[in-house]
Amino acid sequence: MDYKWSINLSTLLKINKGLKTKISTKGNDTTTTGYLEAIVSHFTHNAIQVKRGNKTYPATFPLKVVPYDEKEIFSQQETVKFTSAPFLHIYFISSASVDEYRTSIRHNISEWFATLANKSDSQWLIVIDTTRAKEKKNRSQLIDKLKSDFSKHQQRLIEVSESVEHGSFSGLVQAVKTCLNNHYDILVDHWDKHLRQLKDNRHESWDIYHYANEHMEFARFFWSLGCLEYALKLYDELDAFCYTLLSTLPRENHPPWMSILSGSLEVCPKLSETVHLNQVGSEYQTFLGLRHLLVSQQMLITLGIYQQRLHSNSAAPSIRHDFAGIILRYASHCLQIVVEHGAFHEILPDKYQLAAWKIYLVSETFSLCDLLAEPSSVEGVTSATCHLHTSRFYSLLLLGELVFSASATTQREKFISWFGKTDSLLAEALLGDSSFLVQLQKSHDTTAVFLTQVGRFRAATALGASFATYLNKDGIIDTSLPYELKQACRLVENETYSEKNIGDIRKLIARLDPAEDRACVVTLLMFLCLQEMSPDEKDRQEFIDFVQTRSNSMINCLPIIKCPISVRIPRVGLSILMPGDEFSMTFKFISKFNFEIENCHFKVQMSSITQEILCKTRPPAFQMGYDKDERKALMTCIFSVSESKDEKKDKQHQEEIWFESSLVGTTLMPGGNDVVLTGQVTERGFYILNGISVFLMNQAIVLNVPSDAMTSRETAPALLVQKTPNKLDVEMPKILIAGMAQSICIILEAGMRQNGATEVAVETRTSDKMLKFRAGSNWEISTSLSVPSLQKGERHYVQLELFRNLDGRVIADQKEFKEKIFIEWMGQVWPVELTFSPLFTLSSTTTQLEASCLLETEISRPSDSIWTMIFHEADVKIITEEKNDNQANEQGETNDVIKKSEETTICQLINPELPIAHPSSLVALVWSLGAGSDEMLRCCITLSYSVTENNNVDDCSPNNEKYIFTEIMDVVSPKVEFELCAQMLSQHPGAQLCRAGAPCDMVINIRSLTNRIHVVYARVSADKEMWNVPDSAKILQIKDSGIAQVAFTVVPLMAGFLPFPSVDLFNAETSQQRSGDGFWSEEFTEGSNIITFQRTTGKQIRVLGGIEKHQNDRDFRDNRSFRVRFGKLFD
Amino acid sequence: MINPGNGALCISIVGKENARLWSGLSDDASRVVCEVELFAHVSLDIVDERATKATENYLGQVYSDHLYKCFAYVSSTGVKFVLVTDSKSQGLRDSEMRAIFKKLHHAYCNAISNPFYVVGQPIKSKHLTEAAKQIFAQ
Repeated sequence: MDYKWSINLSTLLKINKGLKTKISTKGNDTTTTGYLEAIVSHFTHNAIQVKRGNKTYPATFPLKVVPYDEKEIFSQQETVKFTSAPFLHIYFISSASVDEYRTSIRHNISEWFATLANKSDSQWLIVIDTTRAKEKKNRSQLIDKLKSDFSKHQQRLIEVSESVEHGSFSGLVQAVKTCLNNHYDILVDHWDKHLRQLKDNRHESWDIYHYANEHMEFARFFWSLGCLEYALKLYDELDAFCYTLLSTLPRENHPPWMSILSGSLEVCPKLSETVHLNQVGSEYQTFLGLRHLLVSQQMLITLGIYQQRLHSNSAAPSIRHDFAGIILRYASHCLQIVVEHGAFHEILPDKYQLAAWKIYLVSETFSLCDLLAEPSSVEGVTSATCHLHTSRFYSLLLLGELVFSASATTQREKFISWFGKTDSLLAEALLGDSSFLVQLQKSHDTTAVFLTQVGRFRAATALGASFATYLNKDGIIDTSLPYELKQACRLVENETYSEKNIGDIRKLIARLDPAEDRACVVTLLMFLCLQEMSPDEKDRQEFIDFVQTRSNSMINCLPIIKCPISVRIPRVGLSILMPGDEFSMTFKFISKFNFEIENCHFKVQMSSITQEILCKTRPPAFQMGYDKDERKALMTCIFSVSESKDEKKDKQHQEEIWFESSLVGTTLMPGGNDVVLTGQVTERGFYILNGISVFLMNQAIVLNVPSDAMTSRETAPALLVQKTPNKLDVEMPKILIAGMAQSICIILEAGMRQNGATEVAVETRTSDKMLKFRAGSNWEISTSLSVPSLQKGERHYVQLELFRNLDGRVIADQKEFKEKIFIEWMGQVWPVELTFSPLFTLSSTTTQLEASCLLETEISRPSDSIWTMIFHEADVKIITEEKNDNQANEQGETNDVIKKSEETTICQLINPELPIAHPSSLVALVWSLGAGSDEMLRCCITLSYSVTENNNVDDCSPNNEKYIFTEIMDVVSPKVEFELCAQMLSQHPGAQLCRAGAPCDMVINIRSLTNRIHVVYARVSADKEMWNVPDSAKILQIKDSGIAQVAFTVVPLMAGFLPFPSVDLFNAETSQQRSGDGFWSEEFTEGSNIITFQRTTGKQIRVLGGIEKHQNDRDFRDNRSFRVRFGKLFD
Repeated sequence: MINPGNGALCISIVGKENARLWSGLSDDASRVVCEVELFAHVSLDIVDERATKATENYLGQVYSDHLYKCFAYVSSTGVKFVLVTDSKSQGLRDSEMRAIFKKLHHAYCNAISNPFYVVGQPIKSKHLTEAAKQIFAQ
């Protein structure tokens, strides 16, 4: 019911409770007005601390000045209305002299005092305005007279003077405050006693309403003083008293006073009206009326406290929601008690009136709550809000009986007139069928949404079911179907059903569309088939027929019923398999169907371990935190399977193995069925059970067996599919020989069983193509070798022949070098590094003879070789490039196109008898290159050889492979211009041999081979540790004879056979320089080197030991024997 | 209307996963089986709500309407015991209600101690039936 109470908060807070604190006055009216106004104003704005129980409350007394009335004097002995009696009586005197006081005032004040003195609890004050007396200078006389007259009550005589601004006024304020406090204490104590008496003395004619009204009056008194919290406490106490009173009363034999609680109200009570009331009037004097009035006052005062707190410094940020929650709780509590006690004591009005009251109470409460906060957003009062929502909906549902029942027309009219007096909204809804249904639907939706929002799914579903029942009663069947279906599913899911529910489900199935709701129909039919309480053959047949006729596609059952098939997982434990293996497991499928089901198929899924699978049953984890800077509470999800970032990645890499039953359908018998499931493993990994599916009736229905329906006595089956890696090793000599065929052995070991033959591919990935492999009869840069099918762990040996060509870089010295080859097998590549050493090294020198140039090649064999080389052919070809002249074309133009062609000249081998090159031997081959020239020659040397073992040199069988070594080298044929011959002569007279330390003459004879005259530059260079050459360079001129001689002084530094110092000739370049005396002189500098032939190259000269000098004579003699021995050695 | 001694109409034991494990009805409830069971079922919403905040096993009265009241008890393992009473009956004090639930819990423990009982499956136990009969007869 979408009823709105159009009221605002300020209007509610202005509701005046009308209790005033009275002060009576008597005496001079002309001077009192100003003082009284000032007193009223002071106490309106200044609170007085009053005590109640153990607490102190600030009370603001709303003072009201009334004329003195002797009937309205408070006394504990007399029953007077507590708030009607003035709190204080004041008599004002404004006499100018004592005489004036005697004549006109004294008799009046005596009478006034006499009346008050009889009432001991009354508070009074005599206020003397001495302004006029002071003017006449009679003040002291007047005061003295009054003091003598009221000698026992001198503290009640208050003097004021001039105006309220005078300091004497504060004395009056203080006196009034004391009196108010005194009266408050007396009044409250007395009132308290009075209420206690009323409460305890529950005689036959005890009137609960009278007590409630008195209690509420007491609460209202505090409310008017501004002590709202204490006032609310008093209302709560009254509430609790009423609850306890009715709770402890028996259901039968009620006390006589209980009779006044039952009965109907004349009008429907509404909060909008009862908030203005202060007492339970005669029109509300029923149990419902009392409760309603009480809750309305509680709500109103709650709003007042909210307003007070809102303006205080200690207001919490959530104050609006907190107080909205209190209002909702009061309403829910009131509804609860009314229903509970009303039903128990049967003191409720007509059920329709009660329903209407509930609707109005809930709607008005929500409106009231809405002034502070949206009811659905208020936290901590879920229970109360749910209660209010559901109460309203069920009340509306009850009123629905009036709407559609023709027999209830009179009742409806009577009912409408009951609440229609105040509001016609509900009346209008009840009169029109469609508008009521709209209201009902709206209420249902609001309530269901809220219940679902707070997690009360069952209540929401039950609400829908009640709504559906109502719709069915009124013939609106189509609208009710979803609600009924939801309720049925919910009951089935929670297994909270009875036989009546099963009957309802049968009816429901008949109403469902077989095409649209296939899954639902099948699920519900299956549910019926599984019922033990009503095994019905008809249900079974219907289920089978439906599945068979509608089996055009697979049906996934709704997850509302427990899977009717449970699985006992076999004791397999951990199985270790290889890729390609087939594996079988026997699962026991236990059917709860009490009939056979044909053509069933079973599938078990085993998946490789992923985070998703491992954490399938793990709930998400959250972490709470508080950001101090932003003042926000943060909730972070630290683990969630669904939100895992790696989920997609895991899914991509997730391998699955499916174990399936035979393709021929299996018949599923009631009870246990052993089914063998077989699967083939393909990929390596660790697999665990991930799911079991059962396909019934030719795969018409698929049932996914949940994990709780799987039982395993031991560890669930797990498969470890391992793939042992293949191994490859190479067996070969530590150092291979380049220049001849070599064989290495590749050892292959299969890690897993192979289904067929494989191949080993070998290649070198260098671009020079120097390393080659045997491929049939040829040498190729890559080759492949076949490997037969191998069992796991089986070894296979493959011989690989390879040949490393020799090139100029390799044969220059005997150094080892490395080559890398790549062997690929079963998709894996192994790099292998080979170390080679050349079969031989080759060096070449040229010698220029007069007529020709000789190329001398020295082939050196390593000493540790086990191979002997047999040369078959040895050729040297000189490659020359020729330039062709241009040819003119037809147009007479010329093109400078240079065409190169090569011509080869075979050189003559001077020693044609090719020797056998044994290890550590040196073979020299000499070719004549023809007439030498200064230019560089390009020679191609080709050696054809075969290799045999050292001890098998004679075996030159044709099977021995011949190798050809080809190398192109650039050879320079030098042209010698001079022949040099050096001679060493001692400078010591008579000495034949040189001595160490003694200067010698190195005489160099030069002969020109070209017979040309020119100046040369001769330079001697020697090891400085052996020779000292003081003057190492000299200029000499070669004359016509072509012969020249030059001598250098050299000093041998040590004895022994020393090599001759080397002599180099250079072209002498001349340059003219002008000296300081003006003459021009010719300077010679070192020019280009001249090629010479030295006869003394490599020769040595004997040098004797040096002669000791004076101071060394003694030592010399001492070492005589040594010298003799040394001399003999050289002699 | 129904007005038994303590007004007990229905006892229901619900597993942690909300599957009904056992249910017993008094003779007085035979005419209103559906209503009583539905009431107990709906009460489970509030039982779930309160069980998370409860400091003791006994949850007290969790739900009521003009016909029935529902009391609940949750074991340490999350098994819910629900007792539906007639709201027009005098009712029991809290201490008496605690004793009833303790008795029920004890009977439940005896029932599931059966080695052939599979946890989570509906219970068929004479212990529970006897205990329920005694409660209904009080």
